[in-house]
Amino acid sequence: MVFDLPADAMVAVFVAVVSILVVRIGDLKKASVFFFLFCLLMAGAWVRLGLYRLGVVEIGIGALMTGFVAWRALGRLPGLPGPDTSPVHPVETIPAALPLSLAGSVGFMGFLCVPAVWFFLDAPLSAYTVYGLSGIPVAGAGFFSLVWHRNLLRRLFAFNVLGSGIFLLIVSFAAKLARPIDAVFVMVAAGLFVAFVASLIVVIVLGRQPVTGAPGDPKEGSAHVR
Amino acid sequence: MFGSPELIVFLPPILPYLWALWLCFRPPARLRAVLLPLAAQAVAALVSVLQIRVGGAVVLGAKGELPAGMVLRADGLSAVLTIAGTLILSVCVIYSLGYFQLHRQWKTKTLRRERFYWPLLAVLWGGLLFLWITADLLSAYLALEMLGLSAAALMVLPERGEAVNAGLRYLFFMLLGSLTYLMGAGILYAAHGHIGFEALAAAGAADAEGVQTAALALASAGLMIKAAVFPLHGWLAGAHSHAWAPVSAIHSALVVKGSFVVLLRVWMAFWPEMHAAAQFVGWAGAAAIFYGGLMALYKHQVKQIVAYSTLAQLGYLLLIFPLAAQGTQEAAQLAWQGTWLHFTSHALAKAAMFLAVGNLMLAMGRADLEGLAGVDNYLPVSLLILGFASLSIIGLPVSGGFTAKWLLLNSAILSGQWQWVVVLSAGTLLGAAYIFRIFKYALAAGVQTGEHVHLPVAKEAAAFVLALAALLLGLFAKWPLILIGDGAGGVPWP
Repeated sequence: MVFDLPADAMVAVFVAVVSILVVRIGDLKKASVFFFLFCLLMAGAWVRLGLYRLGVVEIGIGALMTGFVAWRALGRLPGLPGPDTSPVHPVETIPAALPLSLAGSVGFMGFLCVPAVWFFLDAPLSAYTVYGLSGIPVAGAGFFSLVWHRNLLRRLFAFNVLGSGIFLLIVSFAAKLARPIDAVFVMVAAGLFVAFVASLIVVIVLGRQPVTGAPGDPKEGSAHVR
Repeated sequence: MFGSPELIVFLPPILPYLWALWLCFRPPARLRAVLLPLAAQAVAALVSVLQIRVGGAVVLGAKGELPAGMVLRADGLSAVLTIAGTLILSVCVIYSLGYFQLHRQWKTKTLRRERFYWPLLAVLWGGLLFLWITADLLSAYLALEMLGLSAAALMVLPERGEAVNAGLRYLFFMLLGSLTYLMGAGILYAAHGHIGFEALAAAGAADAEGVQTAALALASAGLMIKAAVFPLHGWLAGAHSHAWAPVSAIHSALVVKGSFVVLLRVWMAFWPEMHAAAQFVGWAGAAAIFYGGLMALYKHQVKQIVAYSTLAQLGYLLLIFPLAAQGTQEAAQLAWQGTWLHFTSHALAKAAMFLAVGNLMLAMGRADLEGLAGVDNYLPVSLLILGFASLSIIGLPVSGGFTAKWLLLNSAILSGQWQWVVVLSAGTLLGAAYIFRIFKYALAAGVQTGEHVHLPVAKEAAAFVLALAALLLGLFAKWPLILIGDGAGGVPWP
């Protein structure tokens, strides 16, 4: 597709904003709707980059398969959907969990800037630059959420978001230097499939866990609430 | 190319997937249901070893025959690892039959998950053998994911809350590790345009130095999370101590080390650039040796002792980086041989150990050290297995562990790096201390708890093969070492 800075920048900003909404919004039901939307936006980004095969894979595996599994998981969590009451570490176990997670996420994003600067700095602005740069906040949001949240469904969303950020980065890096896209395509498709299988494992486990203990109670049956 | 007979060496990683399909519909209940697949696997492994010994390494995909530029390479090293993996997994399959049979007699809930166990085990087997022959960033990623996902699924099968929690913890650590690795691999591919390890090594750093360091740091960090390298080992002890005995055995013996193999291959492809970081990784290994040893000395559950012992033993593998980086060619070759011998003998011994401990726990119904009292009266065979395996874990003479540590020690002396001599010796003493602590309780005289379940000798003794193999590996170390070679094949040592 032809590069159109305002349109592409808008899609990229949407991708980043929706990724933050997916991991930060309190209501898990809303979060899973936003997750579905996020996958559609990712597919849109791939199409804008001219990678139609990746768009199809993103919709098929990411939006439909993983989205469906996450939706099923909601039905299996008693007390949910609704306000998520247990998104944090029990404070007594890890002091300064929030500053540590935030600092880790900022450090991770800073680290990702190193290759981004190397690949994008002295090249003309293109769609790859725009989408590649949007991958950094997306990956940062996913990383933060994966470290911070104990809720399994939230961790799944976080993992998917982190993965998407990384996929955006590596695809745009490879395309920037005009490498054959096959290897990266297999990496991204495999990554999406891995996220789907992981979601499936978690949902099957959730489905058979008898729910006893209160949120945050590290005893029997609390696998998914901590 | 696809018609040539030497491609038979790629048969061992394919067979388990066929078996997995079969196992989805027919979970085996008796020994005769698994004999044919196990025999086929063993024959395939032996044929591939013979082919490699006679015809040399076989490389597929170097000229782009495989999709996406993937490269597979079956050489002497992968042949040794294939044999070891096939032996360990076969014994674990036979052990699992007895394990589930006992649970069937006791009518425990374990059975409800048995039918998931078998196909997952076969997928893990295939992923493992596939991993040994990968020679590029992408197929290594695919193999690691197959291995990690099937291992995580096996870990969440038990219905106890702490086992599920530990399994899920492993799942997320593994996923984080693989994404980090993927990021590094993607950047390396974008910067160089190759994914094959050999092509990457030939391409060299050129103008991509800075970005390449960042990419290698990401890839290494991801692989180190999956390999439970010291500060990133948070998932290991819980996962290994709560899973079913055969799953712990396979995971501790083989799955964790899969990531180490990839780590070593990535580092060797960029060997000149990695010199500076080699000492650092060596110290991480030393920290693992001491921390794992001290934790094993302190823990009270037998499986946790064995799990922390794994953490310590994994530390020895990392010593290859500083040993090969700083010394002479000869020291590097000794380190190479010692590392792979340690890899193999630890895999055999640790699998035997977990299976023997599983026997003890099945029979005594308890998992703590006091529960072992009097076990020498009831389960002499299991105790013997534990003893044989301990010889290799500690590194006492004639065992594989001894020969491996001897080679590593020589390499450290030869390259003049006395700090690793100290680490190796102190680690061995620590290992002896935590192993003897188990025996102190198991051999406590005059204690008769009187409560135990009788285990048929045949079921008890499956692991004996592994313990014996670990022991004999020391005497017959020459044979695997011939196949493993001196690491000079395509490897730019200093």
